[in-house]
Amino acid sequence: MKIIGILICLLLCSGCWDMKEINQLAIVNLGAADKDPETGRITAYYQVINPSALTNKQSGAAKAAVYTFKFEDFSLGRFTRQTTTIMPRSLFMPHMQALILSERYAKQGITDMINFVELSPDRRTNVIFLIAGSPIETIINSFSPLERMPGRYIRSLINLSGQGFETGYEPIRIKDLAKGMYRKKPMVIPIVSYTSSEPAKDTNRLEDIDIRKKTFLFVGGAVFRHGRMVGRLNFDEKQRYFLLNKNLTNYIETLTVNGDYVDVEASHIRVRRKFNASGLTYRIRATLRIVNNQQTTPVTRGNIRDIEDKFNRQFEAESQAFVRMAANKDWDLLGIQDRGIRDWKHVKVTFKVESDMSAIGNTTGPHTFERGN
Amino acid sequence: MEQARISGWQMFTVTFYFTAGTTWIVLTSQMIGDAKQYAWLVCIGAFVYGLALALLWLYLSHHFPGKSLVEIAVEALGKWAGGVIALFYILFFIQIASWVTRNLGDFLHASMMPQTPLAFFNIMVLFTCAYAVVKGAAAIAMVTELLTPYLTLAYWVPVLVTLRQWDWQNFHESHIASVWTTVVHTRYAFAFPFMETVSLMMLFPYVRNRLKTSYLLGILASGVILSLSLLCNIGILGVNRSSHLIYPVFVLFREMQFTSFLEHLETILAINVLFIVCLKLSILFYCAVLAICQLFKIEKRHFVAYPLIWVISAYSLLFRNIVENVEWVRDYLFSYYTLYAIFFPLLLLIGAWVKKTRLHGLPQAD
Repeated sequence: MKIIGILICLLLCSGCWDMKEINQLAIVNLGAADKDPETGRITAYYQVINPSALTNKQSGAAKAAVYTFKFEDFSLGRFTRQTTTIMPRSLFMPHMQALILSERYAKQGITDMINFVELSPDRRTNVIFLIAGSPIETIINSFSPLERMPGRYIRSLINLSGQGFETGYEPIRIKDLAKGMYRKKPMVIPIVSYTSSEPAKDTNRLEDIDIRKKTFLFVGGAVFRHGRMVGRLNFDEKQRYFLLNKNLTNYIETLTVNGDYVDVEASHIRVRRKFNASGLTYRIRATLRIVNNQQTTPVTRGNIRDIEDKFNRQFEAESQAFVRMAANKDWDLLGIQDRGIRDWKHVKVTFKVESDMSAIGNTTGPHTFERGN
Repeated sequence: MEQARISGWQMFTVTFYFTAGTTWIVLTSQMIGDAKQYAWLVCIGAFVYGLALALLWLYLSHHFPGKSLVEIAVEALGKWAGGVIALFYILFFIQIASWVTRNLGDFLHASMMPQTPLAFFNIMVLFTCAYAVVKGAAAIAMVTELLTPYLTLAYWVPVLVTLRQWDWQNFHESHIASVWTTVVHTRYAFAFPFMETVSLMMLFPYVRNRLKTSYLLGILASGVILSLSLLCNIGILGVNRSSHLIYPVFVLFREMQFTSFLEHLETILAINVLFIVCLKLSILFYCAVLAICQLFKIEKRHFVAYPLIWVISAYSLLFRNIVENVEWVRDYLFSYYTLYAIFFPLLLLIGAWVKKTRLHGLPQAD
């Protein structure tokens, strides 16, 4: 009797309703969307993995690792149903690596997208979020070099760039936007563009050694305030934003010392912010390591002190320039208003930078043969 | 009747998981929504209140050693009046069991299996719990004891990993209107789960040793853990986001990312929720079955347990959706639970005193 009972229970445990058979899934690797500001119609793109192209055993199979499906509708909730008109498999979103939105969509506000992703049990809020710096059709219809799936390519790039961040990854997920939406401090989301005006629609187009002609490229960041894109930052400004907001703890700075270039890697950057009567004071400590030295003089204690001083002054000057830029554009990029200070533009921001050189590389100084002769 | 023996440690784990049960899944969002960044302080207030009530119940139990709640009711107020109170408690246990079943069904339905019918979750879980009930209190206590180390590690290790995302700014984002208004709005936290622990009086006769210590420490530990869990949700997800989500703890696990090799641990959490809720449900189910058996002098528990599956399952579908459930908890739960957690125990105490006074007043027989 017991065995029969257990068998009945096991049969019922098969979960017929929510069963997902892997061979019946259209696994989305990369998603993208665009919204027409005039009609409000949304165009959604799903880049779906073609499993047969990813297996090495099968010869003569289709080469394309992914296929892009395009749909158009007026409301986000209608797309899953619409996919059944063309996709022979069920749309499966949990493995999506990144979501790219067009710049014009971002400028109209992305709250609808955040709400939709957060509400759905099939979608994940820790998916990487990007803004398209090129036409979205070009980006979503292009194959990528080195990685067969563009979604994984983008994810790998983001993972690499995230190594300098305190948490191990950039705060550019949908969850970060959902959290940051309530704050006065704008969020910065990377802009991905494509180096060619023509997409690499088939893998043959990637048969060129100069891959820079047709590839994805990260160019600065899109500034979001309360879920709406309000402007752009260049690569250095984006880096400064993450540095001063305690996200980034590692970066490369190029200094001019005694008239020559010295590249230093600043790591273990510790940022402390303190509000007092005189304004906002940043105390920054960093550990330096020389990664390139083109000076004519050997590295001595005095020279190291010069490099440290130069780094401190340059960091301060660049940070002050960043603060001025933010005030001019009316973006509270340091989040001063979130501390209850309304007149944030008139808060005096001072930087006190201290750095320590911990490593100088394998040489005591550069070779100076050419200059000596 | 069952002659089960439960150790002090087992009683501690049973009290702990009974109190934590569905609370950390169901109440987190609502509490943070009402008390903002002070939700964890409300939880501390609630468990202090729960401890005070627990002292009242222990005091009542002290007057009737070796008796369960239903037996106390009958002995203190007599067969008929006490029987009515016992019937009320049976209804109370069945109701809580139904709500717990519904909470689990809603959780699995909303976050993991949206296509599976709710009734199916209910029946499957209730069958398992009915089996546990038939096996007895000692079996439930042993399973609780066995699962404790795993459940503790499986929850706190991922939460500690997510502490990397802690942001103190989250504690400066929102403001409450006033302390008193906040306390009034969050009165449900005082009821659920701390007033529910009166149910554990059904297990008191089985506890071999250290009843008071294990019971009070169980409530204290779960209160502290619930407060810490709320604190972590606020620090990691933020006030606005936590109150916006129905199951913030689930989302915390879902969004957890430790470099790129440890992520998406929500399934582990869902299984753990299933374990914890099954433990709470088994205890409540057992209380209901035992109360019926004791009141109506039924010897075999399975005669009551298996038919009760259908009653609890049907009752759990009374709420049409999760919104109705949440509104019921917010608006009526505190008043409703006051009847069972304060009014009836006080009535039983008065009954005990009157009986004692009468006995003292009677002329001593030579």
